[in-house]
Amino acid sequence: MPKKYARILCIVAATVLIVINLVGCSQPKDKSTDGTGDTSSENNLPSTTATAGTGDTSTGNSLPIVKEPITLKYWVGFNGSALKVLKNYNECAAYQELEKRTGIHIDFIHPPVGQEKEQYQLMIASNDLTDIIEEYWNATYPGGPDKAISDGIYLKLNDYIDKYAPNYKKLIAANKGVAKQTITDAGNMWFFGAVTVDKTASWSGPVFRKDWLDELGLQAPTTISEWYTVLKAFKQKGVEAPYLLDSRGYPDYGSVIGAYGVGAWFYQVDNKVKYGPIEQGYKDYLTEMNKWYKEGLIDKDFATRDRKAEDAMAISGKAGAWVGNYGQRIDTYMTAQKDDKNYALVAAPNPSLKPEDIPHFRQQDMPVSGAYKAVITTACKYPVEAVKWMDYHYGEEGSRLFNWGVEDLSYKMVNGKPEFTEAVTKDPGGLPYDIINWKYKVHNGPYLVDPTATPPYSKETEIAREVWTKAINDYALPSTNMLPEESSEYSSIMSSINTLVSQMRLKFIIGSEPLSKFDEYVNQVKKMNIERAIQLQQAALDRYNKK
Amino acid sequence: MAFCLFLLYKFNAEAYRERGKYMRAGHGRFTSYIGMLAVDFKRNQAIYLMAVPVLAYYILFHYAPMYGAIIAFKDFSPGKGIIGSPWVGFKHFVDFFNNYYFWTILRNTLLINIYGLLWGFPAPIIFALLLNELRNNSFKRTVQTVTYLPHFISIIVICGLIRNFTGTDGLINDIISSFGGERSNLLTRPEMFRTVYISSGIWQGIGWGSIIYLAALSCIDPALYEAAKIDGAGRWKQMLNITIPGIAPTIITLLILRMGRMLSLGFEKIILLYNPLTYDTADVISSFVYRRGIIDASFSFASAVGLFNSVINCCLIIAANKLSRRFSDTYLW
Repeated sequence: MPKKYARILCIVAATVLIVINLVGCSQPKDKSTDGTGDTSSENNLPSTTATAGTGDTSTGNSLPIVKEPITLKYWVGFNGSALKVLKNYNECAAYQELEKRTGIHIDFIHPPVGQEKEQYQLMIASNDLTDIIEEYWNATYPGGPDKAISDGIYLKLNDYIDKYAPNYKKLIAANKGVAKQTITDAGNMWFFGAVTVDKTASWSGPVFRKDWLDELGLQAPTTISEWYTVLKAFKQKGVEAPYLLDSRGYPDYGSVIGAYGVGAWFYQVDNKVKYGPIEQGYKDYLTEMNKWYKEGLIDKDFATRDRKAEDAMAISGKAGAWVGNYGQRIDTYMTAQKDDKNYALVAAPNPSLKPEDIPHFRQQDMPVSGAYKAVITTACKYPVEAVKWMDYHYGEEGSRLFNWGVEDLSYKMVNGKPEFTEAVTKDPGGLPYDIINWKYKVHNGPYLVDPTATPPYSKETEIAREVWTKAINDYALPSTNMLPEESSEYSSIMSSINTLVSQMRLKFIIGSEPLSKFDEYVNQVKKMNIERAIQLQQAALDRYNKK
Repeated sequence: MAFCLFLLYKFNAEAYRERGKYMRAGHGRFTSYIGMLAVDFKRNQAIYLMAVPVLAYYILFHYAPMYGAIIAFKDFSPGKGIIGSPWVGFKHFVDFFNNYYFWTILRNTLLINIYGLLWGFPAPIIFALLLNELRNNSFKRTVQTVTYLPHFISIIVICGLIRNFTGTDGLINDIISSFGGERSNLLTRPEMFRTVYISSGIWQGIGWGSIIYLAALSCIDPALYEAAKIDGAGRWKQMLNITIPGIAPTIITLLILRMGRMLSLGFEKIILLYNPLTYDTADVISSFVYRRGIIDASFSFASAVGLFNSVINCCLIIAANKLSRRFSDTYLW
């Protein structure tokens, strides 16, 4: 190759390499994209005349909130279900309409799905804060919200809410449950949460293959011994893994383990905190699970099975029972199942030991969700406007926007009550409600949640909601806060205890440790200072109850 | 990091000792270190300028951040910043050493690394030697390409494959049962964890690791082989007396560098493959600290452990170099 061309080629190659490197170095701001969102054209809505300009003046601030448009940066975890229809929350019809009404433009910054906690910590550690941050399940400020305020990261909202957030203020004043969860032990108000005032039905619990039960002439089991009978019958029928036990060794929300009167972790009885893994009832649970495992009633590889593999087993008929929520583990399986015409699922109640007992644990929504807490940071230059903007989420018009979407697009008023349109319930693309709703409304977020804002339930889901709500949840711990000094001591005690407990739980179930060693294990946990951890939890609970 | 500091000291000390040769050459009047540097700079300007970006990189990304290691002795809180966080002395180190699991995770880290060294270090060497003996060039090249490929596969995909193959009805169990053995999920058996971890590591790295040895092999003078053939040495004797001594410097250098990583073990593959049943053998320092970090964002604790790791690694690599200096004539410094 002539020398001249060789040189040019080298320069071009070097430039390309450098550019590739720089691209790789850019901030992962909107890296949640994975969806085939063809939604840009459909979401350019004509401006609705209904509410623009007129204010929600009955209670709440007047709209629009600002005369000159401003931009606020909003950091929020991107919900995995929305990946198929959105690249960024700004494409959601509800948020677009909100911008038209309030005049405030929001710059959404999404961490990659699954990396919320890491990205949150990076943001905090580098002090590169956005105006609003929505805390996600475990992406919370280390040391707690009181520390966040005293460290100067979060804004203390008490005065702002008092003056500029009338809707939210009204909610807190009218509901003691909401008040307890929004005001910290130190008296700080620090977030706007996902508030559900009306009681909701339980959405998670045990599920069984109905067609097999009918075939064997059995009813959905209600006690542990009935479970044993049913699972044994499934096994004899030739099912490979009758019961899909979660890889941790216990199902969510205290199903099954609740039959023994203990929780898998900390819980309380009459306001006295207890730790499940050292209680006698826990040993009984492990003994029963061990028996089931030995007889092949539990999936042999449950400890290494991930969700995708479990889904595949449930759909293909290798499993007959599992515990989960009706969206993902009833409806999704029913729609994915294409070959077996007889495939049918039915929900069973959370089991108890004796038929007349009522289990003390079930899935129950709290008045304020543990996730989706929007905080305003000290980096925000327009705190008053931000508070007013958040407050709109809790007024009648605002919450209607988040719960139902945009009128005539995603819902219509029928006899004075909103109902979803076919765009949501019967999506032409075949997407289930769980996914398509994100195009128009916000399924999970900080606003006043209307639990009736769902499409009509399938028959199985109706049964599930009724059956799962039969149990009560009085043994569960409310969401308490620890003091900053306590929390670092607590975490250093619990990290070793959690390792030991999770190890031994699986070993006892599989049988690699005999249950005769249970007392030895309890002594070991006590030596690791579990009593002090129980003390700390008790102190937190006492403070919560006094509020 | 501690290793870098140590190297810097050593390097400068030796250079200072040899400043004499600059005086004898007649250039420069100063016997000081600066003077010696100035003289050398004038002589080799271009070379020093070429080194500037590299130096800048090391200073900016490796030496300057060392200052952040002091959070290992503080209770770091992002809101207060590094300077504002309070001093707590050795609290995190004591916390770490007194932990119930300390000896377990230390033992696991060392064992996985030692077994990895025993089995994983010779593997590319043997593979390179075997490749070297091939006569058919196109076959040799095919084998090389095929064995390089696993290196480029992401660790997540590899672990997905491993989980699949080691499952009770996976490929490996199919093979075991066809030999009459009993099926079991290999990833739930603590005694099998190291085997699975190290063998998959060997499979992934053998092709790529052999590149450097193949390069060293090609540097051996063919005249030596001819002389040996004339003296009547067979293939095996040739390998023992020519090939292996020929690549010995490469082997020793890489071995010394490997010693500097004895206590480090990336946690990604570990956390993808372990589960509570195998914590006994699979839990290593990095995965334990990772779990600790989930409960409480323990930046300070993680730094303390990292600092501990670096110091031990530094001692190991110095010891390895000293040994190598005494027993062979290949050494790093």
